[in-house]
Amino acid sequence: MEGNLLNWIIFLPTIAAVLCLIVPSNRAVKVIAILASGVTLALSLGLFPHFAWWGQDAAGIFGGAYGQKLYEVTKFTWITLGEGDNATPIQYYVGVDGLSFPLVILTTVISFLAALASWNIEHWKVNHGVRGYFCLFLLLETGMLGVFCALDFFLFYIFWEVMLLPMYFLIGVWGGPRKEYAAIKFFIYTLVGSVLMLVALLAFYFYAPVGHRTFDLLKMATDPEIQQAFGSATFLGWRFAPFMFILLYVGFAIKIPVFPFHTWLPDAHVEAPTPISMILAGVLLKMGAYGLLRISYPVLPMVGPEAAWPLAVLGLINIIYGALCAMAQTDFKRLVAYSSISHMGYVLLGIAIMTPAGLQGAMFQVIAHGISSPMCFFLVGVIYDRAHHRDINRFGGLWLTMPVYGSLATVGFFASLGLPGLCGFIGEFWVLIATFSANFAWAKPAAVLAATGVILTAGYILWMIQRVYLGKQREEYKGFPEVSFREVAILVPLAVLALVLGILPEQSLFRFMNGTLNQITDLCARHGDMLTAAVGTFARP
Amino acid sequence: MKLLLANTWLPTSAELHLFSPELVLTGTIVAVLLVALVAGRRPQLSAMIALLGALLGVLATAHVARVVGDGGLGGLAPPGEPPMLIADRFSVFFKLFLFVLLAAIIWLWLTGTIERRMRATSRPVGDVGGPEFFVLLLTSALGMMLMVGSLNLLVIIIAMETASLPSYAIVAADRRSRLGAEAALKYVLFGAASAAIMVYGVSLLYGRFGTLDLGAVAQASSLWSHQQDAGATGTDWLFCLGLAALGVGVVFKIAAVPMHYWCPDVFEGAPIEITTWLSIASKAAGLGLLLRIVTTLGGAAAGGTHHTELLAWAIGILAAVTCTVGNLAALRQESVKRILAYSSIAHAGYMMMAAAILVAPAGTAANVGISAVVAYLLVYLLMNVGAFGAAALVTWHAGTDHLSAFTGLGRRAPWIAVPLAVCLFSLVGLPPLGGFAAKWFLLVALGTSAAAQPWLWGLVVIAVVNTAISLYYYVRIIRQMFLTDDATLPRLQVPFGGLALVNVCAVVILLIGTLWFSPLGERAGRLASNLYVQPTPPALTLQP
Amino acid sequence: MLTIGLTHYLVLAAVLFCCGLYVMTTKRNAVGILIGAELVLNAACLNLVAFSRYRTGRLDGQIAALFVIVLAAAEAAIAIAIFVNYYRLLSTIDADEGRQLRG
Repeated sequence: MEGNLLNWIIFLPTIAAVLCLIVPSNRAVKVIAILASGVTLALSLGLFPHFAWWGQDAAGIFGGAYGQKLYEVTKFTWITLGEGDNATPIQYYVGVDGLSFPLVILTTVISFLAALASWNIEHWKVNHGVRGYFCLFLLLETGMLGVFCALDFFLFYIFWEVMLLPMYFLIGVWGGPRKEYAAIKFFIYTLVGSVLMLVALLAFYFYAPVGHRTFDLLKMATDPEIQQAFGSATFLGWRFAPFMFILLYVGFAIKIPVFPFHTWLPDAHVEAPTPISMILAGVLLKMGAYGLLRISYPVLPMVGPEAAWPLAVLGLINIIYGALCAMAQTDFKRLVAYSSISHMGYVLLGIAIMTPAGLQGAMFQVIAHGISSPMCFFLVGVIYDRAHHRDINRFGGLWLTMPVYGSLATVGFFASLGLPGLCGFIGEFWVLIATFSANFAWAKPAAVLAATGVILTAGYILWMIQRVYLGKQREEYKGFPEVSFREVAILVPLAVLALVLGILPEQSLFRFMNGTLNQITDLCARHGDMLTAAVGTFARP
Repeated sequence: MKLLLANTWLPTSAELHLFSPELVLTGTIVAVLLVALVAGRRPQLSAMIALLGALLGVLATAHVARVVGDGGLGGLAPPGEPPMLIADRFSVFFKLFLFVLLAAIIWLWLTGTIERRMRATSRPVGDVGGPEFFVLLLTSALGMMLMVGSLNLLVIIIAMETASLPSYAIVAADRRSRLGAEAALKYVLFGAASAAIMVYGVSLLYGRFGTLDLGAVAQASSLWSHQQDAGATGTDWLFCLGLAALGVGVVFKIAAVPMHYWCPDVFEGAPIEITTWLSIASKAAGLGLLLRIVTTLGGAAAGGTHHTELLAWAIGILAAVTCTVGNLAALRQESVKRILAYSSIAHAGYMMMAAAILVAPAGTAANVGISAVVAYLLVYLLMNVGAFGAAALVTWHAGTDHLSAFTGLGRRAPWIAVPLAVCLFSLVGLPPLGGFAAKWFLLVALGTSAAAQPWLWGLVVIAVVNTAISLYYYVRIIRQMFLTDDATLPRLQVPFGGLALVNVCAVVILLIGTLWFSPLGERAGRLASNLYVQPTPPALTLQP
Repeated sequence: MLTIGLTHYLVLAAVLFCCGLYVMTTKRNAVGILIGAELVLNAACLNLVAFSRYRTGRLDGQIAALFVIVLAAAEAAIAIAIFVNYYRLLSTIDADEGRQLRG
């Protein structure tokens, strides 16, 4: 259980980033970056034995209750706050459980593939500063992994912000024509969200009873005295728990992104270079959902029932509005970006209803989208490298020119569409079923509405495939070279993952995380009920 | 009346020992003048003497720090009288702060002189400079040291004028600069007006309580408040008026709203070394004085009175308005000096927030606030020296401080651009940089005392929202450096001394944000411990 | 017969203070503003001396008044040097003419 595996996973990219500054040639920089992200991936695979469901039962892997069983824990005091008896340590506290484990793997996989996708950086329009690019890229990877592994709220916040700077430069320096606008928009949106999180961070600390004050996320969620205090306090005249929930929610909703905070996403995605789009869609969007599940719900379970319908409504808006916007796009990349908004709507819906099935569906959708959307973005990137434009209406018949590419593209887009047998289907289906069977008056209409989203998704994806890949072969695209070996090497793993997750959802993903997810729903239900009984103000609607 | 020499009080050598930093500084001023008399007008020689003096001052202060030790206040006064000058840990910290800053400023000046000579621009070498330049600089430093080392209202007035008068003149150090002349005019008019109002306020306080010692004023005032009926709603208007008028002068020094108008104009018009000096030292001295005043009032009013509550509200509101105004005004600036000027107004606002805690009824929570301000000042020094230093290097080269001068700096001079970016992000308060550590301690201080006064959470929210606003204008500079480029612009040749200065600042900021996060808090707590609000007023005696 | 008491001095000082404040806020001429500041300083001096004589009976107020006079002189010296410099460069001492620095 002990060891430095996780620390190596988190900080190996940083070490490599420093190396990148030292080595002489651009080629060496690229090799180091790819090696580093590859080794990080290999190390992260070393986490698998802990979660080997074929070896032991769920209780053995995940422990009895939330926060009881963690793996690869490192914990030491970093900063001491206060003096004497009241001193509280801010800890460097990392570890993985069933919630973070799949996300860590996802991050290392996508980062490695994105590093591979950056290999041709010399041929980009803006190609200056190879060294800077990979350096920032690796720092970004550290930030992302840190967010998923941190179990101390302060540390979580630090990693969350550490991610911001590299992303700003990666979009702003190496992006497309409107890169400056997109970069600053991303930066300001995310910073607004994270400073609100900072308020919640402080309030969580100071509203806990003296002697129980902590930044430890697991302790906050499981200590009954803290829960009691959070349930009954007021903050600037408002009830504490809902107010904090909203502060945190805004921070996470901006990341997911949820309507109406979504407007940074199409700009950022469209302007970012392809590998960065992959990371944005594949990993960064997942942090919002992860934050909700790691912080908002476990620490503030009493708000869950109250927040259910607003979040469900926002999720539905995301699903339908995102799909309709996607349908209206002519820019290929923008279409994929809006489809991300639509897909993340299912995640929010699944989280909002807070049943085991809903949560499982939401998390599955998180991982599935983390595989399909980078693949879609890379597919767009491949064609953009050749055609130097992304206007859907100007394409046509690409399948005839590039049969291998066309086939892989179909897999990718069908996975995103939610075709049974591919990964997108399972998540959406689980969320729909869970919504339908949830114990709310509005649950059934919501499920029906969400299901129309599936139809809309099918609509815009099929229409896009028809316009881009099918139809008559166009003259100007005849000479296009087929996908290179490197491109295939990026696409095939993603396609395989999409397939495996679609066919063996239970063995490939559910069993690795369901234990922890069920513990979270248990915890929320238990604490929510307890506090409802004790405080009496948080009646279920 | 016959005055007997034997009855006249004279300080002992042990007492004088405590003020060796001031004596060293005074000695340096005299040395600069005398050497100029003998050796003629040689600016670089004067600079070297001043630099030597600053370094000697650091040594002297370190010595005094050991003498002061863990003890309480030491001071300069006849037995039984409250001291006119105080030597405690806080004032020692402050002297150290000013000496280090002085050394950095003189270093920057030397770099600038080399730069100007190397580039042989239209301005002859040493035009901004000469013995009088350093005499004025050092004298204003002396005034600032005295400002933080006294509780006597008369000494405070004299110290403030000693700090201000040379500053007015030094802003116009470049006698051919129309901008400088205009800046100095605005500065001196604002300064004279606020100083006059402040002196009037002091006269009112003297009349109300019959003493010029602030400690006695605070005790008399709290006694008056406690003698009122249990309702304690009676307001001592003369006291409030006097305090408000005194506050005008302090607020002018801090450049907080509503006395902030001079700040951007003066910062833009002054030579950039002086801008750096004023942006850090003048504000820090004002804040130090504010801290002394509020801790004295708050400490005497054990448990808090109607008046201290009013004062806390007033400072809290001023702080909130100051940082909001500073940040909003900075958004539409084109001159980097002006952007940094408004940013310094905003940062003064953040630091003033902690002062709102100190007069709060919650006694012990105040101590966290003092440590927070000290920590913030330390980081603020590094951030601003780094940012202004880097801006200076670019400005000397381009001849303007307009944003466009920074175009493509990431390529043209990475060793300026990267540290500047670090300083700017640190000014925003992004982790893992020092600026975040500073802001963190400040917010924690606010949170700690918010248990007793929930309205302080309002300040927390305002502070973090302001952080998000401020990102926009800091990033404009960064955007100009890294996201835009003009291939025709050549690489920048910059003197090594300047590069060393800004890079050291950036590295230390990075270290504070990561490894030295905790030590920063501890050290700040130790440095500020003499200011801590005690349940009873401290006995003003010299430690043996 | 009217006895001149503390109140009279205080009222006179208050009137001086108000005049000074008025002059500082309305005058555009730099010298005018400086004169306003001096009026306020004189009001303060008057207060200090009056309080010292009628209220405390100690000398510290009068000594403070002496210091304030010295400060006022020093301030005037510096201010006028700056005005001269300004006049030399801009040929005016109207504070509102300084328009290069704004924003």
